[in-house]
Amino acid sequence: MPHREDFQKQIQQDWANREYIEVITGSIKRIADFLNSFDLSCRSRLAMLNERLTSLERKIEYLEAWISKGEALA
Amino acid sequence: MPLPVLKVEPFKVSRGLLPKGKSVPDDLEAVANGTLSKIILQLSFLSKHATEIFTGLVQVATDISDRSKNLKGRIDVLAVKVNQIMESTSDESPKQECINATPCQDTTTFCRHFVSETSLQPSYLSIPECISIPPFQITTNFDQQVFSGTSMPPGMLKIHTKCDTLPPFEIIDPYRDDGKDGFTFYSNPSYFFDFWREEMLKDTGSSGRKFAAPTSKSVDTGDGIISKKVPKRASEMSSVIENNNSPPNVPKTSDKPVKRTSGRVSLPPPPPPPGGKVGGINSSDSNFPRPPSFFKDQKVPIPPPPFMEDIDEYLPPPPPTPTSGPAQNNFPRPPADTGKPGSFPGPAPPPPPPMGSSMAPPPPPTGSSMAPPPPPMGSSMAPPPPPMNLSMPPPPPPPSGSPADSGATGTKQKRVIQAPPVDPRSELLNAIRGGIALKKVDPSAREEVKGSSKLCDVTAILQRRVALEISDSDSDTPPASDNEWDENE
Repeated sequence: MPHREDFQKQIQQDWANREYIEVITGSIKRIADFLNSFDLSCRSRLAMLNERLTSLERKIEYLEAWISKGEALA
Repeated sequence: MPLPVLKVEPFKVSRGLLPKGKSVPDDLEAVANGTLSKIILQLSFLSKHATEIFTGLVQVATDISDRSKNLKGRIDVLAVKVNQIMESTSDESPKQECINATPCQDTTTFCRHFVSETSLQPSYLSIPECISIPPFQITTNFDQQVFSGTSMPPGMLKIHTKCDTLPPFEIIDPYRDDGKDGFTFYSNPSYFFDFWREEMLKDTGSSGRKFAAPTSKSVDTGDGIISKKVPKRASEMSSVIENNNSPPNVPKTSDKPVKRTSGRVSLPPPPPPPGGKVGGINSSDSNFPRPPSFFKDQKVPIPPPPFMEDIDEYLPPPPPTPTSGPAQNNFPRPPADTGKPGSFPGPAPPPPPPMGSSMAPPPPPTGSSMAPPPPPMGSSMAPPPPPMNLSMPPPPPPPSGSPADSGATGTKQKRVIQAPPVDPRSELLNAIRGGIALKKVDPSAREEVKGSSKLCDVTAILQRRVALEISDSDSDTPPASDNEWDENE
């Protein structure tokens, strides 16, 4: 009988450990998902920002060319 | 197949063998401990990847921040320059002062006022003055080498470095009879570009015959068919001319050739020409008609980047002065995008379109005969042929003489424009006729530049093709209009 109680205790402890491990692995998975989504979101927003910035730079380049022409003509 | 950038290892945390030979008091606890240790390993990997992710994000954000600061500085400098030019302009012509006397906060709006103001007072410069204007050099190269090792994410770069090294083909290279590099048979990244280049060169080489056929057809067929056969670009340009009585919107029309070529032959997208707004000067506000051959040549140069089209919405066109020729030369050109800004020598002759500069030394008046025009890169050494175009005898006047009557077909409209009653560029023509000594072209240098640009420059190949098409459309239109002229008579 004492052996049986020991086995039951071990099994219960193992179940508790497994639940704990499950919680930890689930948390790790959520962290990884969050990191991926955060990275994706940030990169997409930064890409949009970069695109707008590039467009602005091109327009400024155009305006600079325009102004340089105006200065040359002035 | 998705390529994992970041891997969190180990994958199977609960699988593991108990240590052999050692008595473990509690097997289940040992397995749980092994699982926990692997979970800690996973967490360490995760933290490392998180560090990489945030490092990359911070790097990109820092880059954007730096560019934003730089852009803000440029905008400030630009605003100061615009203010100076506005002041000088208002001093010269107080009556044409901008409505918004206060400096506009928006640079675009400000420049619109500036342009609308300057367009009211067209001033024509002589050719030496045009040449003396230094060309505008673009300072930024946009989106260069976007798929290279430097732009690769660190995780992917790590996987890339783990790849097997290339076999040592260089050992057998000396024994090859054909002299080719052995690596090209293993991996040749430039294969498709070479293939496309050969196709384009072959196509441009035989394009003279290709484009000649529709011309003869259009002459033989009836009137309605003629109007269909007329190149779309030419008809559109003629309609724009008719509507505005001014040169067409250059960027839009210059955009056409690229689209047409891409429709006919599967062209890879050309590199985005930064500031390819060379053709972006739009003279729709002007009241001065221009011989089509003149501005047609001018629009040849560069297909503007598609993203620049929207800038026309709020960037009004410059004045239609002949100085727009040098001004266009001042703008950055696509080859600068290819990382060869040095290939553009300093002042280029104003009116010479790249096509004209590439032609054989005495260029034919129509520019349609077929020395394939080299890229505009050779504009430094080639003398300006455009004077030849300008000195062409004017076409016969239209029977009706009124532009409104000539709205039936595009060619008819074009003919009307070709015979303007008053030529506002008489000063320019006089300057051209009055002893502008054309420089001798060095054939060897031209061939050298031509060959080098032909070999390795996407922009040069595309421009050569576009120039060929445009020159062909120039040669297309006159027979059709002549035919129609005869029919009307």
